Amino acid sequence: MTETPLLEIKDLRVGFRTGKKKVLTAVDGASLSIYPGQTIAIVGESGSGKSTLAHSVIDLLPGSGHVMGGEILFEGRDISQVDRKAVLALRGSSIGLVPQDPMSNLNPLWKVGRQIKEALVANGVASGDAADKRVVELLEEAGLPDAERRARQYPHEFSGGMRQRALIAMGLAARPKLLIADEPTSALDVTVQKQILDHLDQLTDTLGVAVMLITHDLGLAAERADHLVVMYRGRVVESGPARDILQHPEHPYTKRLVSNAPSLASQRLSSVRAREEVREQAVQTAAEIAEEIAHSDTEFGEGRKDVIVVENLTKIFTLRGAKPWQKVDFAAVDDVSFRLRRGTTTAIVGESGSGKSTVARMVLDLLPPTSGNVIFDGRNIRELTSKAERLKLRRQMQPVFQNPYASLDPLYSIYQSIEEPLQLHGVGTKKEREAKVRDLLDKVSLPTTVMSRYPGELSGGQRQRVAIARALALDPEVVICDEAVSALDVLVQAQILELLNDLQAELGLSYLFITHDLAVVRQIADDVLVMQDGKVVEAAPVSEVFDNPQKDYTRKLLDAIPGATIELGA
Amino acid sequence: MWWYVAKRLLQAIPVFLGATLIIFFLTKLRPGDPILGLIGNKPVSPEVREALRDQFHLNDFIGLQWLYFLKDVVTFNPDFVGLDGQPVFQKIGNALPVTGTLALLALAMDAVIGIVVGTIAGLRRNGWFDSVTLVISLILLSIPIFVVGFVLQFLFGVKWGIFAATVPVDWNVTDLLLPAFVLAIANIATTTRLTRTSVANNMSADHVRTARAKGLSGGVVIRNHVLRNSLVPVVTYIGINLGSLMAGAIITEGIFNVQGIGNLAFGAVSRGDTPLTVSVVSVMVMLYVFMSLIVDLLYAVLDPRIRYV
Amino acid sequence: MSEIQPATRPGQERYVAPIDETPLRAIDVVDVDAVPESQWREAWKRLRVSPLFWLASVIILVLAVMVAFPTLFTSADPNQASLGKQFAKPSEGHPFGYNFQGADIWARTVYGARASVAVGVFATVVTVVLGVITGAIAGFYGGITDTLVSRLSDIFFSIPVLLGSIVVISVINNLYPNRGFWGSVFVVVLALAIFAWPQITRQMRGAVLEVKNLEFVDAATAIGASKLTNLRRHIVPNSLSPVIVSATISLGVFIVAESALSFLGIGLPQTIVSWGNDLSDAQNLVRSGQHLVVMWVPATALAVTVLGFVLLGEAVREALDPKARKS
Repeated sequence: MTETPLLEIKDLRVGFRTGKKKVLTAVDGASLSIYPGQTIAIVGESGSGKSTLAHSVIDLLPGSGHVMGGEILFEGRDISQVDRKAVLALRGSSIGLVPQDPMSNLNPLWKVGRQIKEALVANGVASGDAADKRVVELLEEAGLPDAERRARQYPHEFSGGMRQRALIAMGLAARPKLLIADEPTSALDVTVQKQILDHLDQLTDTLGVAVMLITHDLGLAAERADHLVVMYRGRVVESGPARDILQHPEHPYTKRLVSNAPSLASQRLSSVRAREEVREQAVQTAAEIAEEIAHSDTEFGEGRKDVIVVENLTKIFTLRGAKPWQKVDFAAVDDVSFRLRRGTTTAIVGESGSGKSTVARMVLDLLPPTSGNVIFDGRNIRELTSKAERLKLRRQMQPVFQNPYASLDPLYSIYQSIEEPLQLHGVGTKKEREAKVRDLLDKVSLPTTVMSRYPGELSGGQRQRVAIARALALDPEVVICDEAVSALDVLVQAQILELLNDLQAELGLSYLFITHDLAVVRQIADDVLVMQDGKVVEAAPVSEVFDNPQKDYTRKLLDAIPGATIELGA
Repeated sequence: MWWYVAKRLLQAIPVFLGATLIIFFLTKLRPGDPILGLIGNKPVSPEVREALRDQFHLNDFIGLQWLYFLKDVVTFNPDFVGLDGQPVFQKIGNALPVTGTLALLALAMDAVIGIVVGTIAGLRRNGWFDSVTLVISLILLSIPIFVVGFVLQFLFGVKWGIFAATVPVDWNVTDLLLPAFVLAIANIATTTRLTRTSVANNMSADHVRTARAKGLSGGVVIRNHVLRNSLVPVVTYIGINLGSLMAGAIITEGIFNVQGIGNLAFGAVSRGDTPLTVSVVSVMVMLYVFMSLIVDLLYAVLDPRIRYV
Repeated sequence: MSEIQPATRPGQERYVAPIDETPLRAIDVVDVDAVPESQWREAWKRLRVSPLFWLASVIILVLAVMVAFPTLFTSADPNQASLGKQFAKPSEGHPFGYNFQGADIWARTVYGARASVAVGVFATVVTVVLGVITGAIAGFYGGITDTLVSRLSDIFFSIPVLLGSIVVISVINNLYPNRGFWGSVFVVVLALAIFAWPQITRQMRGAVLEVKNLEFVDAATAIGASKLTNLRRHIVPNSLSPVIVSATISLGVFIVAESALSFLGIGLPQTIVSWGNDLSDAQNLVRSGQHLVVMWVPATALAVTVLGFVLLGEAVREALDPKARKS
């Protein structure tokens, strides 16, 4: 074969100036090659340098970023050394970019069509009416229906998926030879993600465009690319044919990724077995606790088998209409019923707008339902009138929220955050409370030295541990995890899921687990509720949903788990 | 959008009523016989006195007096007179053009200088131009307007004679350039800072990077994707200032002896002329309400995401 | 296992990096040695290295000493005036000479600091307290409470501060003349604060609206915190940053406003030594361009003071900038 690579990166080093003489090396000696028309994927966790590597190719490094060494050969020419004008000539016309976040990457003040036209004009592809016509063709090509009207709309009139399609049309507008796709779908719902990636695949195939796909998801990478580059801490730790790497990972980091990525782990039978063991132990512990509650007068609840029963829960939001006197009713949650068995996990799965988080908020008594009941251990929470009773309910049911950056008060130290519930409920003396906080930190595997630190100094995963510790402070029976692992890197995600499992087995907790990602469900849940547009589409045990889904929508969600079709090694 | 305009105008009614009520009651609290002030401290016969009190509704309940006043203001009653017996709206009508021109000139200077300088500083964040601009704008913010006014008046008016030191009654726009600049100084400093921050933030926005990735040249990126986006908050700030500029004119008009609203208001307050004082404040409040509505609508024009319902 | 794989091309052969090159780290490990840093401490760390902050601190410190111990700066009596010394030249202990009334210019400037600073500090305190409370209530409770507070603040906001203050002061001046030092300061503070609080209200309301939807507020509710506890413990403290910046800057703005009122002859009474009064006295001289020192000294003192607070505000803004925070 005498083919020459389209892009060849040799021993690239990229750094950011952080002080007068301090340089932080973000990419340290990375090498890779892409051939014309080929799709390769760069996989890594946040901070691994994968995006920095991609941006250095088109000289769009943010802030003080700069290439410190190595070569970037595009069609044999080192473009890290050429002047600004030459790079400008490459952008758009030879190398296109599809950025990560569709929400922030379109200029909100210009019509979408105009923004695509700009790319055509700037690269001398077309101008005037011809360009307008071409814009519509490009949008159609990117899979946007009704393109002519859409071109005349503003970005805020588009959904996330539509915006991403517009960005793809933009990136391919001048028919580049290489397209850099930087996590192009990580901000989108799973089904939309699949649609868009399928379309991109097909499009780049027909056009013969080479794609450099940047992603944190190994499953997705392996499914979409034939060559993989795994990055860790600024270096390429492993690269080679995708299937080969997935089936025979060699570097310990890659091995770790392969064994932990939820999208891959969800297919393994081992994770099902592990979950079974957890449940057995948890149900047993929970039963013992229930026994105690049933015989106690002071405890809240009756020790029933179903710790939470939700009956016909409905939430209707009234929105303003086009005229001041017009009101539009919108059913965010429509007649939802389910049971949470003591010591088990029920997962509520749905995409954005499905109403799953609204259900969580109503169960937590943070939002009053329009109709329907939430019954906690035999007590209807709407019928609790006294303040003391309500406080008792709060002790039994605690949330862990999605966003690790917003779920802890940034002004409170970790100690204060975890101690607050104890203090509010007047639990113990100051000394006893401190001992409890230490104990809780130990439970979530954090060193006690973090007590005096602040949320801003911890990583996302660590904050989520603190949030779990706070939730456990009052010894609740139920923990409601609202997308608790969604914002985390895959490895951290796996670690937190494991922690949640351990805690459940040890303390006999019951979880209501809200997530958009069906992939994590198998490792944590026993029953699944699939929601769409406020309604329950399917409710069944996990194994049934995975092995024998009854509804099209559930099947679609399952199909959208990346990497599900790839056969794995051990 | 018309619903929005209607709603805003409706909301403006309590603001207008409340503001006039407050000022009306405040000025009524002032001790002393308004009639004495009216005829220049001369003794008056009880009959004349009563007639005057009747004419100004001074014998009525204070709330009723306010309603009478409202009626006159809302209808711009040409026969509505101040305590000096002169029609209020004629006076305001005479004073408004000069102050209006002054404020608009100041607004224009604020917009042009503030935006141009702020943009250059923002594009070269932390460069020498940015640093110098920062220092100058902070100093300008710190010096009282009347000190700057006197210094500039002395230098340009008295010493070098480039501009007239004071503004004559039959003024023209050139006479107002110097006072307008003095009036605008503090705002220019703020507009500059605001523009600079806005431009600098936009330079690192995601969509700007995407525009670069499309292959647009630096100039086009700045013109199409940085400037307009940066101007949205700046325009709001500049627009909302017309009211405060008219109020700031009290000082500037004092320095340059401009016979405008500021002078009129100050004189009215000093004399305890309730009808005139409250009328001037009413006009200012109406102006404020009007300008903030304009600014909001302008905002919607500049930013398609904002739709008022 | 599928055995049909595309032949690897040059540069894409299977590569595994030597393990010792990038040793594996434990996942999500805590840096045990790190020093705890609250947001305020972090802000302070950034302030400490800001030249603006140090310049501002020096100015404000000198000012504070001048207010507390004026005799350290001058031994002359600011109220002693003799016509014989009208516009007398500087002499030993009287560095800037004498003014129109024959009083020591420097002594008047030193003693004048007290009135200006008093007005600035108290007007700021009143404005901030009023604004924070009303803004927090409006933003937190929403609904009809919000509408009422917002309309009320709109009313006061629609009247320009300077114009409103003139009306208030002129009324009170006529009602209660001769109020002494603190009485006069109180009136000016009141007059300025009445029309200035809505600014803070709006800012606070906006900040509270943003903070109250954050997840830690829900988390606090879920552990049983009442609405008021939540507001006091979590929402208000997290909404204060923008208010702190405005308060610092408005301190300077109030000092300028006081001098503007005095310039119009309506601020502090003539009997009180203040920068505004001295500047007001100097205005006629300036028109003729003579004895400019009478204006320069108090004007410079005033400008430097205000600059101190504006600089401090600017430095604090940079230190509290959420974009600069690591998150």
